Amino acid sequence: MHYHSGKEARETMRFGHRVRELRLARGLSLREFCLTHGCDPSNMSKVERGLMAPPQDPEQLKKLAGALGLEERSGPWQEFMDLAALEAGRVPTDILDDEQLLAKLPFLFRAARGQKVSRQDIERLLTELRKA
Amino acid sequence: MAEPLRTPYVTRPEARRRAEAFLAEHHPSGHIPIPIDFLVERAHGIDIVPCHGVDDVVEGHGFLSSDLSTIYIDWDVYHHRVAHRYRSTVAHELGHLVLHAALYRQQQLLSLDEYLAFVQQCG
Repeated sequence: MHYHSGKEARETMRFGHRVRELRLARGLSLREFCLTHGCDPSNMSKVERGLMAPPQDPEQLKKLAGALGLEERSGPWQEFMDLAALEAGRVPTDILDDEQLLAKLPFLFRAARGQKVSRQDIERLLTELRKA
Repeated sequence: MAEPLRTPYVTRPEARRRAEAFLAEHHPSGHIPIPIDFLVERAHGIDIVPCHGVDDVVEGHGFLSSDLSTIYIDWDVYHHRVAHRYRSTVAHELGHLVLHAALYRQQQLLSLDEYLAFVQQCG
């Protein structure tokens, strides 16, 4: 199993990395950012993790750039738009491979009900992790 | 193959000391409420991701992934308008990261069958 930080994994997903970097620079968690700006946190998280392509609707992209504090027509704004365009054709890796998925499973379980975790439980969780 | 799990015992004063060290480093102003999710994302590069069905399987509201990259939070807890449970879950999982990261790294689970054998021996 490969251990890595989310930051390391994002190096190959430049648009998502940039979104996350700008959001954190504004002092906002993902949840708070989405609450403030009316975004869906699940989709925004996928964009940041490179599991979803950047928004291609110009208005939506402009709205996101504004929410991230980029001034329209400024250098960073243009760079942001260029990154989105560059990654427009990239096929999002929306399904993790088996090894990646295994690495996302929990390592420690609470055993409050005193029962062992079953294969069915894990398979159910894997199904949800594929979508998250 | 997975090694038998041996968790080190952490005393309450030691856990408190580690929590205070984390806050001193990453939130020196000490302002309340502590922006715990933001700190976790910024300090450790961790993704905090809403996910359905977490409550049902792990008997908690969230979990830290085995590769230490992601904290998954139960969908309903993540989206609840009152954030107390969300915040305490993130803090709990941060505790695993701070106190148990070495333990996570010791395990080499290469297949789902190995993973199942490992978690069943822990349960």
